[in-house]
Amino acid sequence: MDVDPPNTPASSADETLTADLHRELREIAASLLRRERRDHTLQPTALVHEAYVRLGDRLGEAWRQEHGEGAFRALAATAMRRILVDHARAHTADKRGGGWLRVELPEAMVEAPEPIELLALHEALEHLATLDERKARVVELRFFGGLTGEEVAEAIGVVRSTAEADWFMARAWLRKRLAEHPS
Amino acid sequence: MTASGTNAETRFHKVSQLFEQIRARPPVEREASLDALGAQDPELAVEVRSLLAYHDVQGDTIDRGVLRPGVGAVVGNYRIDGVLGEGGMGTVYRATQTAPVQREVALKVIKLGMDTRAVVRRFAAERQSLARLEHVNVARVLDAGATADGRPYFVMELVRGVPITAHCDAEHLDWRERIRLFLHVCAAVQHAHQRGILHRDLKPSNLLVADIDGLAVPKVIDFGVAKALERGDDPSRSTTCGQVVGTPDYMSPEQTRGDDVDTRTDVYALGVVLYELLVGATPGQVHSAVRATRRSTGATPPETGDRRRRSADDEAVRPSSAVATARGGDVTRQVQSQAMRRVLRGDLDWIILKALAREPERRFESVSAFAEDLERFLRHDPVAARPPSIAYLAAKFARRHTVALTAMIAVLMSLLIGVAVSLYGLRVAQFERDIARDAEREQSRLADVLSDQLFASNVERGRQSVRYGHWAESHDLLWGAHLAQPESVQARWALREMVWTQGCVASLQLHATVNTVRFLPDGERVFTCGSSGQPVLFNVTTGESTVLPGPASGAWEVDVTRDGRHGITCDGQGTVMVWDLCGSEAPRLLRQGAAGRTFVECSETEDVVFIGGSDGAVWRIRLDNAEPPRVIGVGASMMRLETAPDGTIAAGGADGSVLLMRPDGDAQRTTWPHTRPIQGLGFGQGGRLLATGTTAQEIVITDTVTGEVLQTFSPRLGTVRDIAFGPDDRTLLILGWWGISELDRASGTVRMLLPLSGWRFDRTVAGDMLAVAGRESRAIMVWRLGPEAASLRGVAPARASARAFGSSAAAFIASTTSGIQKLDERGRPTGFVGSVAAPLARVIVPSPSRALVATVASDGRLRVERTDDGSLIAEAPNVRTAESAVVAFHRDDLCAFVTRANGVDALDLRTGEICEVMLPFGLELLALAFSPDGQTLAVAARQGEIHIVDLQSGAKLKEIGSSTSFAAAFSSDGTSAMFGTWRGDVLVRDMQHGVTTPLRGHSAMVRQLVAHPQDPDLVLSASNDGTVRLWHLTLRREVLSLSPFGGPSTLRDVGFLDNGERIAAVSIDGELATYSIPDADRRIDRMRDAERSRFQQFAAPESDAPQ
Repeated sequence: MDVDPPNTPASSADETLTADLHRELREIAASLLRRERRDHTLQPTALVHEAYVRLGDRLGEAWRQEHGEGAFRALAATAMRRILVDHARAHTADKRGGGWLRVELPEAMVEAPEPIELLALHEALEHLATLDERKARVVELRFFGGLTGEEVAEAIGVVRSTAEADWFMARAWLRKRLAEHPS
Repeated sequence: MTASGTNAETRFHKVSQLFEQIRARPPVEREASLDALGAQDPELAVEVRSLLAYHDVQGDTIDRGVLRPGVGAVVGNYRIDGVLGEGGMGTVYRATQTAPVQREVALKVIKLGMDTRAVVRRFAAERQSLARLEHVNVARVLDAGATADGRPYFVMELVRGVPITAHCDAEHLDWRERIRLFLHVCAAVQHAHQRGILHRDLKPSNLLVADIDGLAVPKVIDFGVAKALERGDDPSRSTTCGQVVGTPDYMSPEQTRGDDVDTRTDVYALGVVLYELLVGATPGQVHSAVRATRRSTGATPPETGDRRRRSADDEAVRPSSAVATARGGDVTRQVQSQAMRRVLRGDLDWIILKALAREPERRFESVSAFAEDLERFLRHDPVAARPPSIAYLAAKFARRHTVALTAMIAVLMSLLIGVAVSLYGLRVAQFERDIARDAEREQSRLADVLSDQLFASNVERGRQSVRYGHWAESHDLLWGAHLAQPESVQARWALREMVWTQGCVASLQLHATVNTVRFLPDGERVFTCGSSGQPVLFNVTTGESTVLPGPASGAWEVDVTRDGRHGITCDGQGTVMVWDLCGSEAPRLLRQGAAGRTFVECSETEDVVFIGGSDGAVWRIRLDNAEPPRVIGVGASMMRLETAPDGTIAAGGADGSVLLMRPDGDAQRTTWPHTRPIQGLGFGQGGRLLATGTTAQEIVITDTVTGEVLQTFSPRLGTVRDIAFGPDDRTLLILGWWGISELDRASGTVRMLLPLSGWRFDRTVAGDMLAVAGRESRAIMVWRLGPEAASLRGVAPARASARAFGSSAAAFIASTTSGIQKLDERGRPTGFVGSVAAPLARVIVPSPSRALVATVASDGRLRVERTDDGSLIAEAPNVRTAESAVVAFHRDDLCAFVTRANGVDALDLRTGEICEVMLPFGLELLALAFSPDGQTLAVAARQGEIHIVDLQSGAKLKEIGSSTSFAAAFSSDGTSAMFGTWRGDVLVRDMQHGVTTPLRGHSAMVRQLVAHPQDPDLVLSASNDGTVRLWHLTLRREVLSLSPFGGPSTLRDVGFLDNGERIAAVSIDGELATYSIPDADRRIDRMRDAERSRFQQFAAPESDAPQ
């Protein structure tokens, strides 16, 4: 019934935005790393917070009003994922408590699972993307961006039932993969 | 993309499609589809089957995601303060409700699949029933909604407690105490069942035990959440996006299968909890342990493919046997488990097993039956649970062909032995009963002490409910206490406090929720009907209520004909009935019901009734049925209907539109500037103006003739439920979510009149009285409006430097230009006290009789004058002046004051002579009071010093307290001297025994203490925290607390009038509030019979009987 194409990439303007932002974030990360080498717990907090705030600043109020919160969070989702995964990679070796990450954002909270779990999920998600990019994007938006069903559908450009079906399948597939191929 | 990559993609797509197809089918068909697929492509079938299994997993990391509301976030009216925990369905936060009252709540945000709206909608459907849950042991679900980003949330009473299992272990409760605690839980669940609500997810983490005033109170949480999370479109399964709601260990077999659930499902879950409380593990855990043992000893082949610990086919291991296996370990534990075994063996075993029976028919049919059997067990009475017959068991065992023979024999043997022990146990029980008789006597004495504590606790809880405005709960608690112990002083004062706090002139408590109430044209009676039961005619002046004979089907809405002779009711199905209010005609059917949500309005110009419903059609029906009913207009799905005195009719629609029908027959549907459902409609100027209010909290006033929008307001009063124009149309009376407010049309200012919610209200034609149907509070409350309102009267000129009130509630004021002005009860000046040219008086102290008043002015002179004619009686110089003047009367004979030198002199009012009472003091003196016999003087000084001075001998008794006192008084019999401290304590010194006790309650400085002129036990205090409190000296507690003027630091003078029958208070702004004890008692007496019969109906378990 749906004629949505299997791949629906974000608009090129958004892509440039995210790439720019990502570069910017890498610079921030580098500078923060240089400054606070010892206090690991501070960096990712600052990073995620920075990401959110900077993205908001960069896009501006007008953009947010026009496109809505869902679109904003869709962009933030990718950034969030990158930062959390980077953090997890840096801390898999960390035996003492560098794992459970809790970050306060404006009126929200990020609670990332254990690094190992997050990395496994990330890799499974990458694999899923090679099989079905759209389903992987759904998971990224929901898991990292906290978007609701409506917002996911809108961000991707499909009807709600399609997004819902994508989510169910992707979720089951990921669970199966994580349970049966622990990395 | 490589060739294999493309293949992988294609295969993935195929699997996805199949997964989606099969997942969307009901579970019964899934197997069939999978089998069919398996015949075609076995590998594919295996993959899809396993994916479906993973689909059913609940609440893991993937579901929870990474983002959630954080501390400081605002969700609806709630502000998140912290995280309480993570459950399977979402996160539970500690939050603060910001409006209408501030209180702490628990906020549970559900992280689910997609259908937030459905969840909230389902909750809204349950909401009415959930609101009826009023029980000490039920944590109420207060609200539900959706967060800004679309997650459903539930707001619950915050319960600070631990799961019942943890509590019992931490407190080392023995089995008897555990059962007793468990019985409270049963009471809560039974309460809900009686109101049609199943819990469906009972487990220890939903049974919290909180510490309330030192008592361990179990609270059942999460009622209604499970039902709301259910997916309606998959009827054969209670799932949430494919997830099973409920925790496996506590789920009954029928829940696991997805069959219908009923009260016995909750019985099962409760059985598991009790099992766990007494054995130390759930039946499932015990079962696993036993299976593990068997497996390791090779006795039984393991069961395959079953994730759940204990399959529905297995009966539980008997608790007494399980106790031995569950608690292993050290010697003390073993000894305990032996003792537990003895306790469990026999009746208790069977009670628990009966609750855990696999088939619902074999369980207790209700939670109360379960509880009753437990109570019988505690009393050593025979229990109803019977062991299953041997034949039954044999038949069962015949089916279990996989059980090894030895195991079977072992189980049979234990059962046989169990039966024998049970018979033996009965005889032993009789013997033990004799020994236990003495223990029981001791226990009953303890029970009395406990019941006293519970009584006091209930009264206090009732008082707290009053403060929160929970009328239904406060009614139940306080009337329950008063009826149980009619002589209790505490309960009676609490009832008076409730009456005064409510402030209404009359109230009627019904048995069911009540939506609408209407005044009859006589302005004295109201007509109303609850959602079940017969309609009631209630006279608000006399308090009499009459139940009209007829069918008891209840009503959704009512109205009264313009001549007041008939009342119209309309029920939820649209059936409209006409009731005779004067004579004895039987009620007759006007129209048979069609759709739901129907509204009725009687025309104000003809003997016609208008009916509108969710289909939007407005029907006109003549009362005498002289012509057939006809449709006069069709609008949007109707939300409100209203008629005007000139015959105009307005119907408010769910889409924000209004259908306006003029008396000349023209029906026009207009798009009002609203987009949300219209719930409030009110006509002004006889029909020319129309005020509309919506769920989006906006109000619009329109000219109905020209269609012009005249005014728009967004007063932020919450959802607007009802609107009415005030007299002469200058104001709007608005019933919003937060309360009843008055909006001034000219200025747009809003004044909150009554902070209580309701569904609809009605005003008398004269506009002097307001009746509110409180819906969930099940009450009709009637207030007086306007300047005669309640107890507050007379806003006097605000510029004054001191205030007090006189013998007949006239307020004295000292003002700059005019002198000391006297006012009457309405705040109107009636004359002066003293010389008009007197310098500004800073302190005014009336004598106890209020016939005399002492004033101290800036010239340092004390003047004592008569209040009635203002004549001067006596004067004294040398008084310590201004705000620090301290004056005390002894009857009308003596007036003592603190001199400039910080000593105490007394002015003899008969002779005018001044005599020295006390020499100059070291510390500054702050308060003085004479004992009733005039022989002793109580003096309070700085640094917490309190002196009792014997005036004959001059002997001084000194005491030092921790906080300085600024007020002093003696009880009317002189046996106690009381001091009000800066910290807020009232110190009571027993003059005979010399013991000082603090009475705590006030949170700020006590500025005045007044003893009751007659009752030596009562003393009134006024504090800077804005409250007036009454203390009972023998009970040593506060019995009354009133906040007459709102915020803190508003009180200036309090006291008793009419020989102690009235309490009066004057505010800093010159307002006078009086509370009449006889009036309150009259209202209480009027309510008592109704309340008594209401309580008797509660005793009848099954029926929600009509009045």
